[in-house]
Amino acid sequence: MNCETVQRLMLLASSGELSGWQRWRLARHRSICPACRQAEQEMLRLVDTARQALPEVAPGAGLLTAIRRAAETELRRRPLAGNAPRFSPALRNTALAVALALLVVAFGWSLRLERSPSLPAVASAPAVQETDELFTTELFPESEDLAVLSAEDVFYVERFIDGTGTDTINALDLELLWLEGLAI
Amino acid sequence: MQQKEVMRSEPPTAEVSDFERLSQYRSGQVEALAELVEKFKRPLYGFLMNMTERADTADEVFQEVWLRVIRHSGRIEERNFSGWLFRIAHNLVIDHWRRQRPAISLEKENEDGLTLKERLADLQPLPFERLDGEQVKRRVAEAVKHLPAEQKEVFLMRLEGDIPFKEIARIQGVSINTALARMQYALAKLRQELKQYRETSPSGPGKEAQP
Ligand SMILES: [Zn+2]
Repeated sequence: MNCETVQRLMLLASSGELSGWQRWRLARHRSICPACRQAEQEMLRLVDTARQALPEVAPGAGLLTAIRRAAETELRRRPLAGNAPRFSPALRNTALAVALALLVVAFGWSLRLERSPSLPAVASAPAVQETDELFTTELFPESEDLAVLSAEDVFYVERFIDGTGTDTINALDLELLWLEGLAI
Repeated sequence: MQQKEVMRSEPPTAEVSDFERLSQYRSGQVEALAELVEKFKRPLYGFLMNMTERADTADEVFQEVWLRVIRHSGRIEERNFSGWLFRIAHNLVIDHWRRQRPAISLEKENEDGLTLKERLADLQPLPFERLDGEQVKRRVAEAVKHLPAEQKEVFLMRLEGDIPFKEIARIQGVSINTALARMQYALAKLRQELKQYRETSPSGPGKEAQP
């Protein structure tokens, strides 16, 4: 594994987001690379320093009061959860039919919505092929123990995408994954 | 093992209680929402102040974020409340920028001419502990101010909001690699800034450090 990749794993480690597999790889690289060990210490200290250096700011009391008022107004405006008004059976059946119809419409609508990205400025990135990336992110089954994999588990595998790469990392790792039937 | 549990159990621990508060609010307890606002007021407001650099804008966006939480409190499908909160904030900040600076670039992290490799190659230790605390704070705050928007956002979401990188990537609509690279660039710039401070400060601790 190259040092740049490792240093990204270190960031994920700092936020508690490493998979078991990634953690193992990070530990293995740490044990053989003094530069990355030092870089990790530096990174943690820098983050710590920056965290302390960020100015402590908070919204004013007036703003908090305004939000509270808006919250109260909203509660008055709509019925409380769990306090639905009672209907006669006939009315309830009509309501159910209407609700069902609405549900069907809403479902169709949600399918349309899914196709239109909600974030305006930051366009959604392609799932995998980002050539400016150091490694691709792909979904593979993952588990703390490779022997007890479950299909819904997910982890990230680093892989060369430019096809060159002499500082390749993980021919062996990928091979292992193929052997395990986890990589495609 | 520990880290994995933290990652996997996001919803069952802290996040569940946030959602519980939200559902308490929906069943009529305004106080539950006030507690949520209280819990997130510093990280969220700190994020907005740093992103917008104006108190009046931060106020306006902060209020709008919570108004949306209030209005949509019954329709949340996210697993992670803080992620949802910062996603709303992210969208509103972008709306704000669009109104202010329509041509703002969200993709300029490589414009400084230095590759990440070059930055990472510089692994000389920085004696942070020998720098004066107040000066470091000013220096860091200044450096954060000048980060490109998308790097600044990743940096602040991590440090102010403690948002996981996977969530940040989702919010920004980029791959996790891009989110991590943005954090690396941001840290590299801060590091550079502190290093320059140490080298140039006439009365700075850097001088003292030399023989
Ligand atoms: Zn290394």
